[in-house]
Amino acid sequence: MRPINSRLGRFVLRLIGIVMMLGNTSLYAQETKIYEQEPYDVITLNAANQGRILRALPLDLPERRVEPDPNPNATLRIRLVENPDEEIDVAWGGIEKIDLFEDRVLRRARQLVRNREFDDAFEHLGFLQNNYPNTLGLEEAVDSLLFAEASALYRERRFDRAILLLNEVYQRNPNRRGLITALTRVSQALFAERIKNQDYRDARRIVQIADDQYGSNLANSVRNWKGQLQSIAEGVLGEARQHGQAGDDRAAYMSSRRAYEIWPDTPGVREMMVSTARRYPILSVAVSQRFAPSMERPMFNWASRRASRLQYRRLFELTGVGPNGGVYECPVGKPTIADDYRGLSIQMLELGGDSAAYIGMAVSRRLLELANPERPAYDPAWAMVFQSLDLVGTSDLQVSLRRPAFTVQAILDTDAVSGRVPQLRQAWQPYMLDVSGEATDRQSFILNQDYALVASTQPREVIERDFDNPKQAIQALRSGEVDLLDRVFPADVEQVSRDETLVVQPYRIPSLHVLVPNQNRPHPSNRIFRRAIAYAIDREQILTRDLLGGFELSGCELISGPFPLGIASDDPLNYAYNPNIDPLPYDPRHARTLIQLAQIGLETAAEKAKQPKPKLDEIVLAHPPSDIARIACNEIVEDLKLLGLKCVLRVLAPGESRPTDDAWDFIYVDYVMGEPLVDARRLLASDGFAACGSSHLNLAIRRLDQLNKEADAPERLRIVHQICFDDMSVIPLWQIQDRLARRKIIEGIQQRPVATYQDIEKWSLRLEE
Amino acid sequence: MIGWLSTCCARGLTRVIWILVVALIGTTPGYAQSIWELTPYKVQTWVVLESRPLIPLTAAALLDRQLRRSADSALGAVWDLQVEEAPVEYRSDFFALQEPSPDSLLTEFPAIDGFDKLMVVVVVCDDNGYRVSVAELDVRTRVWSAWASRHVDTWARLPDVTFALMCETFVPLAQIRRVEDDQVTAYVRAGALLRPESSVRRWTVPTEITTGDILQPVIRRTDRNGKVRSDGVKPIQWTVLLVEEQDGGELICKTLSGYNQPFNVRRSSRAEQLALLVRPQYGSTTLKLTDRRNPEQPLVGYDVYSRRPGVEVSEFMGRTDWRGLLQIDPDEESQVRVLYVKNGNRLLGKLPVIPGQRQELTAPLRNDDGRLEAEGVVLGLKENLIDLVARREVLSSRIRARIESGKLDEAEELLGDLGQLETKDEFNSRIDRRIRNNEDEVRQLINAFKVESRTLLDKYLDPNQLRELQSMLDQARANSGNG
Repeated sequence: MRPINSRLGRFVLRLIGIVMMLGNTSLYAQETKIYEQEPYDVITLNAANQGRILRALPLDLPERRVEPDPNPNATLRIRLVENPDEEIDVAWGGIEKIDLFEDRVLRRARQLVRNREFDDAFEHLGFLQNNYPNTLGLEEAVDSLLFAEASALYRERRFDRAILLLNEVYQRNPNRRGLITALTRVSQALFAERIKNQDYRDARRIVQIADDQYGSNLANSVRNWKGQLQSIAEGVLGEARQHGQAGDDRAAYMSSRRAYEIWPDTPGVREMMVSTARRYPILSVAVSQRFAPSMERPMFNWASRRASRLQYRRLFELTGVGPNGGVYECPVGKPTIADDYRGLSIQMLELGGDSAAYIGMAVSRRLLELANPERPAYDPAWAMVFQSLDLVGTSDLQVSLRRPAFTVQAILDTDAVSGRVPQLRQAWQPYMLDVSGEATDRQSFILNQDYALVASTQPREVIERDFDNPKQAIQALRSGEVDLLDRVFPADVEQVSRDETLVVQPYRIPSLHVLVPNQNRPHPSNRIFRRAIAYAIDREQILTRDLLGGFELSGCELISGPFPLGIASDDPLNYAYNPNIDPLPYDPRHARTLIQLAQIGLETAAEKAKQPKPKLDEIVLAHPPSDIARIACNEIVEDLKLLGLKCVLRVLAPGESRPTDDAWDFIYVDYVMGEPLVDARRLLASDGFAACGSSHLNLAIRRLDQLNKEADAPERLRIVHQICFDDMSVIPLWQIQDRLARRKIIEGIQQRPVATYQDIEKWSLRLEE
Repeated sequence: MIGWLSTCCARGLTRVIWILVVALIGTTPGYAQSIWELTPYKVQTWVVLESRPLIPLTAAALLDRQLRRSADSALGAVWDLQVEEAPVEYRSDFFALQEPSPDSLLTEFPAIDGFDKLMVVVVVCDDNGYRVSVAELDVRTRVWSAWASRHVDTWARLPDVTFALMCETFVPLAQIRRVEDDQVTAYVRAGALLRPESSVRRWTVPTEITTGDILQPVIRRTDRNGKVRSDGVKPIQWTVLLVEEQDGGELICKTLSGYNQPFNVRRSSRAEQLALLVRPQYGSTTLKLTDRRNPEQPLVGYDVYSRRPGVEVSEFMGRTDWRGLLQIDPDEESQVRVLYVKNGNRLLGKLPVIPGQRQELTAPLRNDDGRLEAEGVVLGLKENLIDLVARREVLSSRIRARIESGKLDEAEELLGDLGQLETKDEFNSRIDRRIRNNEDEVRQLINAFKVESRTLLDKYLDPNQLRELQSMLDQARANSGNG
């Protein structure tokens, strides 16, 4: 190794140079607005004093109000802006008028309202509310701003935003002239639009809000709207009855449920829904993220983690965490692992006839495919340990391993059987995704009657519905439109837990949230730049304020690496987490220094390689279409803006965990890690999800493959954590222990499941409720 | 032997006259022609014919006649061709397209040592005609070529197709005479016997070596009796020659090698440096990296970069998998790829490779994992130190600014933040922890970092810095109180 003293010394000197250059400058570099200027008041003297104008530092006036008739002989002590150290006295009699700083800001705000520059106006008024709340006319100006903006939005047919603003005015001043007329007009437009689009759920919400908030003010409109909705619901209920008479239970249930969703108080609708549901139990689920079939491993996509259990059974499925780590279920048979971890046997399930032999063959073929580099299913982690297999008799599969594999179940968390025989594959598909459905906000999974483990009581169909925001999903759960919500937004957990009609259950394994850098782009592939981004994000604030809403929620904490912190200090899941490493602090100044350093390094390298210097015009942050990711990423954008970094968001399509193109710099990813010893490779290795290029990290991961003693695993994994932290191979954010919420009619759900539909074969719907 | 004696006198005379004419009135005096360039390749051909009604009983004689005629007509004096039926001992091997080891073959048939080439022609019947397969043994270098096969519809076309296959399989040989730095001068066997380019009878066949071709150098050692020892022929590992100029039989080649001095053989009359033309035979080559001290141990996760000869820019080819393997595909623009194997930032090997020359190529290299692990730890510690120094400097600078502008409470708060940062002792403890948690080889390297960075820690993590700022603040408070 070459001496580092002089090189590191030079580097530190250069660094200090940058630090000194940047250290005391502001983090902002924007156009100065009136309220951003140093405040001063303007005093105009009378004609006897030649009408001179004095600019004074803010005057010390009681409540910052200018007396209407001051004693002309009394004096006012002022300090001029030009000479702040000297105090001078001015006789009130010589003063023509005083123009206070806050009045000037207010006038500017009014001007901006007239010019329809509402964002700027809002910033000016926000400044006054925070710093000069006693300014005369301020409240009226705020009302005018809200009203004017609502009017503009109405003209642009942006009724949603308009109603929000008018509601704000109503909360502030319900008696404002013209407000009720405006509210009625906008609500009516909004309602008509929803009815036209057949968005009855939202139409009902509008009625609900109007009824709750404006009471008698909008009574006539509300009565009218309720009538319209009930009439539509009665029509749909009629259709349900016709389907029932024709013996089409599914259609009857769907229509009655639809009628219920349109207007739940429609006479007879609830009875019809319960009676049809008994014949054809349908589970309706509100989902935080829409599912789309994907070839990617489910661990990196919440929707895939949830719905893949409906779509296909895996050879080993993680169902819990025991004292010795992950607890796995093998749906195809009874597994036994050799004491020396060098063998695995599976006694295949007997389902009558030659089933065990068929299953054995299909599983054997799958295991061989996984070990064959020529096959698309090839998995190096399995190929590394697999030696040979033998189907003893017809149903006892014996697998020999070339070295001890302590986590063979985790390695074999893969499709249960080979897909080369479609009939055998179909036997392990619990539900089939109904691709004929036209609705864009829901997807149906219909029970596969050929599924090997089908149970008579399990739901015949699972309908997943996605909502625009978490509040709507919770509302749908409360109203009975849906039976289960797969992931409660963390800030809503407290509120939902208080609802006695609902049950909130935590998932056993927390989700880990990180930013994965794109190693193919110059800036994210630079480790100093990645560290800068880590320092630039105020993770504590985003987690506690934006995601948890100020509430404390167990299992939700900042993390310093890619492994789970566990949900308690004695959680066996936390064995990989290195407790000696604290999350990096929020330090935007240091982040800015590091960005400069990274830029210098990149430019030097480009110059050496005779390539153009890389420029950082904007950072593209991709994220999945989930509420947690959306809110967190919006905050990250704001944090980066503080450093002068322009950051744009890119929303991934459902089912897409990692874009196939390179037009992104970071992806917000949440994943679960049931077995770090195996999952570390899947996430971090150069052929893993994050495709980390660091040779040091990849070496540490390879060392995991060479373990001979299980007891060495924690230490090895903590080294991976340390290297990952040093390299910022992925930028760690936080872990969240997610919760599902359900109505009590669902029975058979595990207390702390790993996946939403775990054990769905044991579920039943108690429909008497 | 078939029909060979009957024609040898007439052909032999023709050949001698040819040689004399070329030697005496050679038209290219630019290089000194030696006996090597004037001597034709002595080519022995063994034919193996399936006993089937579709193959005539006189097939061997027919082939003998027609192949020699084709050689005479197409190549002139370059080949001195003999054709005979293969010995029965090897027929079954040859039918299975398996070649015997050169040593056993030469022990059993020492006469073959008198030839330069042994070509084996196998003819079998297939569904719609015949399948002819040819392989060549270069007797001097003991190297078998791969089998080349082709389908032939009719017997009448079989001799022509066989001759074409023989030419394609034939590997020209050159003798290396001069080695200067990375330049090698070599002379092609029978190079002076090629028909001049102006000749209307010149036939461009793949028996020549031209500019852009790649040669594999080989060392051939003989004993006092001129016999090649069993281990006497060895290719020069990880070395190839790129033909940059060709003038008649003279070749000027650039050496591409993983070694600084690949031709470091002591000059001796018993050591001959030869070079064989390389013709890729496979779609790609699988490179296997192994630990040179423990060949069973694959080198996993090593980065492989590729460069074209004479080009500065490297292309990342990939990383060896858990078996130490990486597939090397051919490059459309260059037959040879110079591979650079790296682990982390360290270059471990330079390997010129001709993709497709062999199916698998094993490169034993130094196992560098211990050093890489230490490099990772030291890099992490260095960056931690940089962060720490920079954050201390920013905070110190902000504290000074606050004190100067009289914002003493803010300065106090920032001083508290500065106090929270890691101290020199804490940072040293961190280094010690990393030393403890690693194995011996890694420990030594981290320890070296600790020793080397001691001065830096003293300078930039000076505990007096905090005390000085505290007293500056105290002084400012006292002054403001007095004021």
